[in-house]
Amino acid sequence: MPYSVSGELRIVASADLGEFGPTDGKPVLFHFSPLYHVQGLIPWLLLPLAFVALPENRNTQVAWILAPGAVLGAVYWAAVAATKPTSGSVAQANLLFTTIVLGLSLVWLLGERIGNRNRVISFLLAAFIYFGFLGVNLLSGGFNKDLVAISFLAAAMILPILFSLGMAAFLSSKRFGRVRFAVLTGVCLFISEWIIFLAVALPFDSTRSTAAQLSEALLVSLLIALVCFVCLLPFLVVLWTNRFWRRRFECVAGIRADAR
Amino acid sequence: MKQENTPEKSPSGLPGCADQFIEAIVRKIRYRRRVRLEVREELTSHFEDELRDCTSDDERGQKARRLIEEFGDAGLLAVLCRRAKKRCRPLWCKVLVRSVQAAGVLVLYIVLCSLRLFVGSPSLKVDYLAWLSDRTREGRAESLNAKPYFDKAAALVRDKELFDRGRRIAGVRWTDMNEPDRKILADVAQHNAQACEMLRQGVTRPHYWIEYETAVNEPTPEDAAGPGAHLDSRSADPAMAFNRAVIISAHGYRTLAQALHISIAWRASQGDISGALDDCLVLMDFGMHLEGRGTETEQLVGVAIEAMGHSAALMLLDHYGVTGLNLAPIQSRLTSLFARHESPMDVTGNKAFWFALIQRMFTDDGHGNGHVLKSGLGLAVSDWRDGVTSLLLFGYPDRREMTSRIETFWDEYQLVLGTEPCRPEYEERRAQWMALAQESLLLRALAPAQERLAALIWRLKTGRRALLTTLAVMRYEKDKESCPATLEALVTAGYLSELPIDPYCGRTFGYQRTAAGFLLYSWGVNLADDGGRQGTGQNGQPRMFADNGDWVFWPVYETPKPPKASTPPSMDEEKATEYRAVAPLNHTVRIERMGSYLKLDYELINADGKKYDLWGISEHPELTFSVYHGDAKIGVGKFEYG
Repeated sequence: MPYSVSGELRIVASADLGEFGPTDGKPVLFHFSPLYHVQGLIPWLLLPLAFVALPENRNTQVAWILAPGAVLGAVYWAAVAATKPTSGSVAQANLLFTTIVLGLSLVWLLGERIGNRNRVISFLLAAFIYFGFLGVNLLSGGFNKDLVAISFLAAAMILPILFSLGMAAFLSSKRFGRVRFAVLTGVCLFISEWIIFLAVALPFDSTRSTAAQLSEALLVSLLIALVCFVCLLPFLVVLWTNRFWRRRFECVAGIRADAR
Repeated sequence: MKQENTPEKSPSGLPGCADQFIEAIVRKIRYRRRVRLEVREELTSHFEDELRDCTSDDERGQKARRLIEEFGDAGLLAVLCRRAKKRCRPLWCKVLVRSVQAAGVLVLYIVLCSLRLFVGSPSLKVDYLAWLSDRTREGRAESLNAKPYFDKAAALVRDKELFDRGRRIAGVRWTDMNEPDRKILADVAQHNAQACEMLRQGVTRPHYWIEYETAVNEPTPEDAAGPGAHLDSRSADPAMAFNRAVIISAHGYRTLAQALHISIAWRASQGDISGALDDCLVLMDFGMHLEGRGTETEQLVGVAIEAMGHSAALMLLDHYGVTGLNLAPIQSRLTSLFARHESPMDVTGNKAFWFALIQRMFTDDGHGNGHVLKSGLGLAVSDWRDGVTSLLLFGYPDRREMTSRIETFWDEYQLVLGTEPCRPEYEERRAQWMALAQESLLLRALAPAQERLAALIWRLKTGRRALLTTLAVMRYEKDKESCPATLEALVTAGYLSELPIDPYCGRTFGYQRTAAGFLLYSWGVNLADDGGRQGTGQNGQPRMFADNGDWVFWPVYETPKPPKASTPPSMDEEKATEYRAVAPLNHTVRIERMGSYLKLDYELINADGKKYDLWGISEHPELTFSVYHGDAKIGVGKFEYG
């Protein structure tokens, strides 16, 4: 619903029924409270809250973390405008996009709190924040059976994203290189996605051969890993090019990232 | 050795030997970093306390070495420190650690248990299509097979695009038809005369069988554009192989039967009632050739064709009467036909299919046994609880047990098919069979469809018996110029050797003399005598084989007239009648809020709120919605299917 609209709405369905009935149906009334708009904004309000509430984020440099979201958002809306999907699909895709991109921004905004610890603890804290954000998103969308499938997909993207960042940080702890880190992230993303899809497909789909399932999981995981990597890349660029964010990256990843 | 002579000071201020000793202990603890730091601090404090009173470095060094000797082996001390630290953990920490360990052991156990499902491969030794071919052919000579004739006849069928219309017209009285309809009937009948003749020759062959393992590689219409599939009937997926083996003939036979049905109507309209009735018997015989052996699909096609023959025969008798007809030979031929093909359904094909599945889903130990593979889980477990229990206790049925279960399941089903629904043992057998179905997820999913199939078979058998009874009553009426007072009079007068039994009441069919002739009905699936009141469909119109009344075989229910011009062209006549009965229909929208989104679900309902399918009216409906705020239209959109 447009943000300017609230109050009593009348919805009329129409189709040609020929001799069997009228073209226009009886209007169905729905009261759309202004608060419903606010409910949809809750996930977005968490970002400014992280800026305001955390002292370490009261710095103009912090705003650079919004740049990847803006770039990815522009690409996303261009893709939506080009493909013209159904409104239901857009609602689901919005949830996925918001969760993955804003959730990742939120994780980095809380970086000082989750960094400087054992990598496993940092990973778990980041996962807690990321999944918490997914939960907030689902609740603000009026947790609904239509969103269950997409939330599973979101979960299947969140875990590999965090895992691949953690693994890349671990493998780069002695020798860091930006390209090396990006490649390691991509490879770990692909492998972890593949494992997840195999774990889902193998036990539950018993109708097809293992080879067919393996290859299908391979294709799906390659595609999703690619999407995740595209989402991650702008963040990595900001984390490595901006001094403030590089310091935070070092604190979370536990490595020195001044190498090229 | 240097450190023993000249004690060095470390950053902590302790002698070098003490520092090295502490470092060795800390390194050998091999526990959390925090614990190691604690131990280091504690040991450092201990050494500092002990060395506080020493005045010189030598004295400090000597005392430190003495303390180290008292401490003993650093490795042993490290182990003791680790144990002590673990022992001193808070309760919540101990619980957490033990829980994680327990979960780890459980996961490991589950992984070990499930390994068996992934180890081994099936051995595809038996070609179950060939196995089924052997059982349907039973070593008979090829000259006895009607299939080549049926195939040739099916290949000769023309004007298939007119069949839908032609089939509907075939049920309408000649006098009620308009000129274009009559032309369609004539064209279809004349263009398919050769196909019908070939079919008549085919039914003179006593048997029918398919070489399934060969038929599986015959090209389907979908293959016409490409090279087609080449399946090895032994290794191919049974679902695909069994379907492919019969799909070509099944499709061709359906159109062939329709062609003969239309031809029957045409022949009757030209005054050749006797010839048309003969063709009805050909149609029934054609169906019966496909029944009682082979795959379930073929048998179902046979059942549908035979039922078409019953309906065509009753329609002829109703529309054209029996004047000038000699019904005795027809009744005699029918009696012999029905006796020859008493059981329309045989489950050997089903067994073959499921054995082929077992062969693919279980390993083979070379002695007829084996264990289940992951693809067979749906077959081996009954529900998720059984799945978990079987996984944890290695309790999956083995191959031999599963084969035996499948065999018993289908044998019990054959018993259900052979037991009249009115008999007390029917429910008992059905319950036994259903209990067997509950032992496997796949069988349980299959059971409702098989139940409907059993009902269909009994419907067909009821139709056979009713047709024989009707013919006998008509012969009596023709000879005595009045209908018999009771059905028993038919036996007394010699028109029937014994009275056919209604499978739904266990006695003779319901029968009444009426002003227009007679009423013959079965009690139907509600197993109650409704006095010959035909059951009704959802639209309130009388419907044959409905579950809320009797099944009236005579008089024949009048086919509705052709649809009015206002009905959308894509809508079939039966649906149009149903929708007209409940009109006016209304659009409505079910609204569900998802945060700041509104999800709109379209529904087409009647005045009572009952839902209908818009896609039944039009295949491509332009279905839109408009949103108004006050008087202003603030949005429009299209509903998407699905």
